[in-house]
This record gives sequence, structure tokens and C-alpha cells, in this order.
Amino acid sequence: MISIVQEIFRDVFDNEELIITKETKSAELKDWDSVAHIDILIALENEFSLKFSIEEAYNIKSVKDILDLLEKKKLNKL
Amino acid sequence: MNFFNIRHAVFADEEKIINFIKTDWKADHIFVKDQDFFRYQYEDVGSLNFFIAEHGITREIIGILGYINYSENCKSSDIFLALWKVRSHLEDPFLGVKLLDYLIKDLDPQRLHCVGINKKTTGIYKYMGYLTGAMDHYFYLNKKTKTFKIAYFPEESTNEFISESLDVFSSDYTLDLLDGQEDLKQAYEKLNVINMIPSKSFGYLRKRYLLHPIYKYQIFALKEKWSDKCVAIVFLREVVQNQTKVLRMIDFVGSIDKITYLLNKITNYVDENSYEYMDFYCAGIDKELLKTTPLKNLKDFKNVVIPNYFEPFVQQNIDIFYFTNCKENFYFFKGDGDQDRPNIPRGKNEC
Repeated sequence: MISIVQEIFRDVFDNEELIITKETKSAELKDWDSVAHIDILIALENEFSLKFSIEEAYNIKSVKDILDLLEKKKLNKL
Repeated sequence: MNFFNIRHAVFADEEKIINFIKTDWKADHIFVKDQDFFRYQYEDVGSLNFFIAEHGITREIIGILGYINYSENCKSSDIFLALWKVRSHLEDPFLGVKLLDYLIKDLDPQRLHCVGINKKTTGIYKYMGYLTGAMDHYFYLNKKTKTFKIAYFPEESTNEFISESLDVFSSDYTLDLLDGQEDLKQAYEKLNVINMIPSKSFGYLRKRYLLHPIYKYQIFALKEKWSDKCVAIVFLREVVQNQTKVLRMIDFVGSIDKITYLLNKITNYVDENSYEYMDFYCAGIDKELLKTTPLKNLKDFKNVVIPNYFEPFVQQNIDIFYFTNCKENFYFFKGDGDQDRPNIPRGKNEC
């Protein structure tokens, strides 16, 4: 799943060489601001056919938060 | 401890806010260079119109959100966002939106808008369920202008931009110059402003256009000849550039269906006073309504330039984007929010 998330990050930040890991936090990426955050969420919603609530969007501060949330939402779908 | 704390600013925060603008935005920003102008723009009675986010440990400012209040009572007013900046490399990427969310909960405004949003931020507003769009930019060329020094037109096609008014009723109205506060007050009190969005109070208009410390505005009332009743007020600003001058319509209050009569009157004023052209930005006005005036929509033409930036002058078309939580029946002009804000401090401004 992280490879899909990485592709989304590369698209949003317009950087084909960007490498993210589970440990990557927002403070480490200069342009991870509210605009990028929304773009990431919309791309994730489209990719995985799901919706994030505002509260969920509020609590994401790292790639780990994204992966954990995707995992949780995937389980809820089953 | 929270990573950050958001609160409404107090007067004692002024220096910290200005310093944040200086270090995190632009060292020569007009608010940095002209503190009095900052106070004019953001100080209301008993309030400094900013929300600030402070770092949980260092207490330094890491984000600001300024606003302009269109009346004396936030709860029933229109609020325009003006100046929104968050530091990069933050532990919370959503701090900007959290500032906005805090403003909404704290002020509880009836309506919320911003004119002059960055195009790349439209996704945020759409995500929040707001309406976004680009303003229309209209212009009228003085029929007597032979050489354009500010606008750019392909010379061979100038005639296609000139058309006569289709309006036959504007002769039933007069355009009267308003001279000072009493004139404006009398005209405003006769206006039907109940259903206007945004709702602009007399206090707002007085501060915005009569007490502006840098710009001088020409204010006119459109009156019915038969009743002497004021049906609209318009706020104009002359800009001098390249040894010539243009007239910009900055704001309008009154019955929107009367704007055609008003524009026909103003175009006469443009011809008589040797302005190169007049222009105005707007959103929400029926395009069909404006087709009865001699003004043209810039979107309908290629290779035409009607500049928007004069401080410094840039001969380039500029799109202005907006968002609003209204769905319809709103009318925005360039004077809304902070889009008609000077960019050069007093004394250095030739406009």
C-alpha cells in the first residue's frame, strides 16, 4: 500500500524522486501544508474509493497516520 | 501539551504578527513598512482582526488568519478573509484549515467569503463545501483614446471593442458626486440594502472609502430624476500611470438591476474626463444584464491586456479567484476583502 501512497505523494508534490517511508512526518516535507493535505486526501479517496471525515483529516500528521487509517477503513469495508 | 494553540489576537500581539509577516512572508510587505496602515486595516473598536496559532512550547506565532468585518456585529455579518499564512515544515499539515475552522466557530459569521484566493487553494474550499470561481473583468475604452499606454490592444481591432449603449433609460437618472461623510450617509440611508450580499454597513463604507489613509476614492450616487431617490452608490479610483490615467470601479452598493444605468453614466464620465479606459472586476452579476452596457468582458477577447497591478505596474491580465459559503445572490467587487490594498508604503506611491 505504501507504494501507492508514495505515487500519490509524488504527484501532489510534483517530485518524481520523492521517497517516503512509514516514518515520514509532515514537518519533514516543506510543502506538506493544508493545500497539499487536501490534495493527498482527495487522491487517496479516489484511489481507494472511500471518504475521509474532517476529523480524520484533522488527525493525519504522518505517512503512518495515513497507512493506519487506510488499514482501518479497509477492515471496516470487509 | 498541544503542539499549538489557536486564539483570537489582542492588541498586544500586533508586533508579533507584523514580525511573522516580515520573517515568514515578505520583509518589505506594506504592513511591515507601514504599521499605521496595518492598524487601519485590522483594528476595529476593541478588536484586532486576526486569529493566531502559537507554538505550544516557544509561544512564537506559526500561523495567522486576518479578516475584515463588514458590520459592527460579527454574528450577523459578512466576514472576508484577508491575509492567511502558516509556517512551512509544521508538525501539523492542517494548521491552516484549523485556523479557519477556529474563526468560524469563534465568530460564527452569517456569511464567509474571500476575494483573492490563490488558484491552487481552491481544492480546500471545495472540500469544505464552499463555492469557488473566477471574477469577471469588464472594461470600457474611451472613444477618444488614440494611443493606449496602459492597456494593450491589437491596433487593427480597437473598433471591435467600442460599442454604443443599448440602454435608453439612463437619462432618467443623475450621477451626483458625494462630498464627504454627510453626503454618503444621506445617500446610504435612502438605499435599499436589505437583501444585499455582502451586507455593507455605513460604518464599513465610511472606514473603507472615506477614511482610507492612502487611496482617494471618488464616490457617486445614482439618483432617480423624478424622485431624487438614491438607488446605488459607486466607489471609483483613479490610477495614474505612464503619463495617462484610468478609472477603476472598485465597489458598488444598491439595487444590482440599476448597475446598467450606472455604468452608462460612468462611461460618459470616462469620455469627458480623458481616462484611457475604465474597468471593474465582479462576480455574481448576470452577464446578460451587462451586455446592455458598452462594457466588454475581458474573457471574450484574446490578445487584450487590462492590467490589474500598478504597484509596481505590470502590463498583464490577472485573474482574481474567490470563495464564498453563499450559493447565489452575492455580488463581489474588487473592493471586497483586501484586493484593493496598496502595495507600496506612503511616500513611495505614485499612484
